[in-house]
Amino acid sequence: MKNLSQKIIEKIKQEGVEPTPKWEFVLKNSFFWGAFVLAVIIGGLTFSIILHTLLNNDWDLYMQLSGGLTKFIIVTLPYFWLVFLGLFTIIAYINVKNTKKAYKYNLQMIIGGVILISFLLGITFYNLGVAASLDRNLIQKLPPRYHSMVDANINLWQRPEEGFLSGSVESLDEYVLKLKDQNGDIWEIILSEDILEIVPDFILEDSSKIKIRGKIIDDNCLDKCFYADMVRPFDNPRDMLKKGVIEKDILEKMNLHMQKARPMMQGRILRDLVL
Amino acid sequence: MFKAVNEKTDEELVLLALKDQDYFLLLVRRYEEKLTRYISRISNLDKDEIEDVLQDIFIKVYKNLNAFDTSLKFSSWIYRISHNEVISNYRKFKNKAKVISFDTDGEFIKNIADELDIEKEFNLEDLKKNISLILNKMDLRYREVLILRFMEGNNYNEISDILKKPEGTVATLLNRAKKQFSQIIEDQNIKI
Repeated sequence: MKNLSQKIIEKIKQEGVEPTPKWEFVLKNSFFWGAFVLAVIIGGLTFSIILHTLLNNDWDLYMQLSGGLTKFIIVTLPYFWLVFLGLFTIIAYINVKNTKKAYKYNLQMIIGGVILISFLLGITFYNLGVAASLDRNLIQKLPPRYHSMVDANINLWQRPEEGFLSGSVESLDEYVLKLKDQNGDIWEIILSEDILEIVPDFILEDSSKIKIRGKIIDDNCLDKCFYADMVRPFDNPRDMLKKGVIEKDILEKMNLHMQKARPMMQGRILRDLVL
Repeated sequence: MFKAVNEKTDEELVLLALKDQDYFLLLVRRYEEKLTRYISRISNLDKDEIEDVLQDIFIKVYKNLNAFDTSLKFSSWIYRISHNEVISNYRKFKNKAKVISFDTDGEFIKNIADELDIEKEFNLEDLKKNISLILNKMDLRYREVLILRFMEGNNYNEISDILKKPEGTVATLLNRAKKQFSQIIEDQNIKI
């Protein structure tokens, strides 16, 4: 035992052992902090989408869409994003756990801290409009088969027989709005004269995703026809849903469109519907 | 000159060892006995095996000198590395039958008796006779935390740095260790 210290020093010299450079440890620690920050930002973005989805859910239509509040909540909870948030919370936890002083804090404190930061960032992102833009871009850019995975509303609004239809604006000429639904079928949409609410931004643009409440019209229709008494943008910005918040210039364009479409629509409506 | 170097703190020696390997020898000398005792208390490795583990520990310490966080005590850091090395060698010694002999001093017995509030009821000399039997029957994690607290004399913060666990968890571990210690006395019908 007496010679152990000498043996160790000799071994260090013989084997040419050198202290690992400081920058390697700094880099390693920075990597974990960087990955933690990234995971928390992604967690924040995810939480902002969850917030956006919940706040912009069609709460006013829960009875018609699902037959009850509990069922509506179960059906429309953003499970995909909740799992995504959980995943990035775990990733953030693993990364922060690998930093130097993390062992001083217990699991609950770290997970709680990560969730709190994600929530605060999420609220900030939501208020900055990041969530709405992210959600809109995701829905528009994702292939249709993934839509129902990220947004449970897709299935709820793809039931034309029950009065709910959604899809993207295929074309809009002077008289007719054509809609391509989630299954790729083309619908001719006839807007009710007494339409309950129209949210402006979308309807004059091609490819916009919208959802429509109404009923199928079978007679005198070349394509599939749907009579709409309510139209909303698919990602449903909450502020726009307040009736009477339609921007003036959009309203004027809308009225012009309605006037041009009216002669044709009135004929159909009078023939087919008793409202 | 040599005396002056000897008076330097561990943390100062770390800085010197980074510039000149020979200063590392002083750190090895300061800790080889302490760590030999610590490893022999938490494992049942024999003398040669302990020497091998110690060599690995000191080489690891030297390689990682730049990772030493000066906000920690060097002793906590080197004990942490030793703890990790023993745990990574755990498979080697967990099935060995050898019983660890604890050369406990009176201080440890007094400390643990105070903690367990058994001083008045029991004879400390009898407790000293049976201490190896009791500690050998304890789970490693509980035995280790008792050893760190009452034999190595570390406080909660230092044990937290060594085991890389929050101080609250250290307190819980110590409580459970004390309970297990008392339970073994009871189960084994040790008359103390």
